[in-house]
Amino acid sequence: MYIATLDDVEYKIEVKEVGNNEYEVQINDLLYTIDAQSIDSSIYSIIMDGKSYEIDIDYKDGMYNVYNDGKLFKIEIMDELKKRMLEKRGGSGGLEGVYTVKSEMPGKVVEVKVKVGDEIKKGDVLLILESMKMQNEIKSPKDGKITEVFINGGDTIEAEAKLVTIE
Amino acid sequence: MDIKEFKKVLIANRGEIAIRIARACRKMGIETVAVYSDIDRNALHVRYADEAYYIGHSPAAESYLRIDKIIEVATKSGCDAVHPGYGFLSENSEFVKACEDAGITFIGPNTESMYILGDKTRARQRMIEAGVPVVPGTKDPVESLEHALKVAEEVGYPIMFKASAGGGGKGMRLIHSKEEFKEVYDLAKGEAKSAFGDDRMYIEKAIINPRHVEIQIARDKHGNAIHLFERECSIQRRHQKVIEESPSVAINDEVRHKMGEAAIKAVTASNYDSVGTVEFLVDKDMNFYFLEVNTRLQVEHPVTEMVTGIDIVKLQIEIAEGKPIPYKQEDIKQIGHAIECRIYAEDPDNNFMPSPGFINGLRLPGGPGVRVDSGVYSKGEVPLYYDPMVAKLVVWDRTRDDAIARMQRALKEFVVKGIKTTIPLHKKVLDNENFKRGNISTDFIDKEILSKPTEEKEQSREIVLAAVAIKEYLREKEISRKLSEFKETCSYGSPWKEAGRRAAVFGANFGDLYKYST
Repeated sequence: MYIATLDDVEYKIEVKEVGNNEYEVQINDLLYTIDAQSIDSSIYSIIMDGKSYEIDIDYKDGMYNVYNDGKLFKIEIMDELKKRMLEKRGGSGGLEGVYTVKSEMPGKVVEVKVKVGDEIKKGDVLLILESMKMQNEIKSPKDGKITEVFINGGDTIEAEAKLVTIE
Repeated sequence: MDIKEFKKVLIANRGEIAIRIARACRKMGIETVAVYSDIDRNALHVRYADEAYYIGHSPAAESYLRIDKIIEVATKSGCDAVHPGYGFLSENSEFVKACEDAGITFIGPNTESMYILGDKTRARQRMIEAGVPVVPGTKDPVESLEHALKVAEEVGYPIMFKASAGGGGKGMRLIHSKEEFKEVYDLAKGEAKSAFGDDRMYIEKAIINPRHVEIQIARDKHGNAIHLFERECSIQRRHQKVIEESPSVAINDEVRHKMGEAAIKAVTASNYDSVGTVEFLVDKDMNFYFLEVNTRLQVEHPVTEMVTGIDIVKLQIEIAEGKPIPYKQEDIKQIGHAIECRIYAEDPDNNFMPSPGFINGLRLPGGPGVRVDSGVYSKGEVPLYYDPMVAKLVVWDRTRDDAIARMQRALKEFVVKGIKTTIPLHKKVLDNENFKRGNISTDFIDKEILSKPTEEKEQSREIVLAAVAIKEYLREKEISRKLSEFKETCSYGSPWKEAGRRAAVFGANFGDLYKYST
């Protein structure tokens, strides 16, 4: 049994493999029979009730970004057992406590706007990153205090590079 | 006037436009020379060209903007001419001068017309002299409230009160009446002072819900000039064009004709001698006002090619060779309807963050009436150093409705994996009822698309939930398979060490392993 969260709504999902690429999927109370083929690492061809869909699934940091006909769905899915355990422990990580902001794209650091010890609010600009001729403001996802800065102005960084740690 | 026949042309650009130009050259029997930076060694434009030369490091300033290197390559490889494409050096008069000095033809206008038209203030002055309508107002700063009210009265409300030091949409205020102007005059000046350290302000007539309509023109060295009708470019984001079409639904045939005439007047006034674009703002009453001239090939030239059947790049090269334009105005017809979607490497679901990187899956649309101009390929890299546009998707059909339907199906066929693109944004625009009805203006994307939630198709939630659950099921199955394989082969020692080793080997996290090892 999985628990999937989409737009803050939880869905209980059971997957049963019933044949070659054939599955019975129960979402809450409704049962669907689905033919699912993995085309490459992220594209799935789904046939359900004779209807054909092409679903694009990206997995990043425990979150699935799923595109269906151009629309993005952000889904968190977890084994029920794991989910309950995490809940007991108090939250599943995320933005709680110490959080290290990572770059979502490669680029060149134009300016670092914060330094260790700064108190910042959610939405404050941490740095300006230039990529593809555009300057992008990278903002803080949470309130807190800067405890570490990993980059300097002028640095060229890769995607996923650590930027700052906020506590 | 001497007529030359180019044998070899250097293309001082990269990406889709370098390929577009090379295609025209190849068709004309002209050899092509590509230039490339470090990161572009494997780029398509390098492989497409007959010759290719390295010109420097990846940042544009060290390669595609290096006039000296490009001229050196052109000279050594024996090129007759250089095509600059758009962007980079295409509107750089220093580059035109360097080409002239090296005895190489620059495929574009002469330096003097580039000088006049390249500067907004100079161009505006020249247009007023030539009788081309400009947005009423003056660029001269107002001296006092009395003076400002007088100018506003002459221009007619509503007006824009703009900071001389502003730009790019900043430092301007829309004012509807004399009373309102009196109220905000000091306030606006104060704002300008604090934002730009300069409180000089000027007045321009406000064009409400303006549409951006431009005329493609061509003028040769013999003084023959034609226009190739209009392109509607109102669908923009951050002042960057996103979708273009021809014809425009904003104007009728009479206005279309008048705008064409005005555009020809505009380029004749500066003795222009290439293909170019005259941009206008059009208000809801079909009044049009000169904005600026782009003295180069435009990104969106394919929509004009689709409705007129004229190869604009070929025409541009022929004009540079000194040949007369082979068409008369009455030969040129605007047939059917064309739409272009610019596909950018940006994430529309994350505030349009640039998304450079490797493309690990690519499926281009095809079928009747579809054209893709692109410089990307599967397993290719979209570098972070240059423009984020990865492809132009262009369709043609008999009517606007048919063209929209064709674009919708082409967008559905277009798959780019590995990087994020603006394909989903285009789908939303093409699905929008106001877009379909032709109710568009330059703020369309902000007002109609980004501020509204998208509609969901029936069952799409169930489909994605099921797909994700199956993916998660398969992922867990794979992890447990690997784990049992691992246990059979090398399970020994402390359980903590073992878990660490497993995590390192499988890249799986402790939680997953814990679940399957107990």
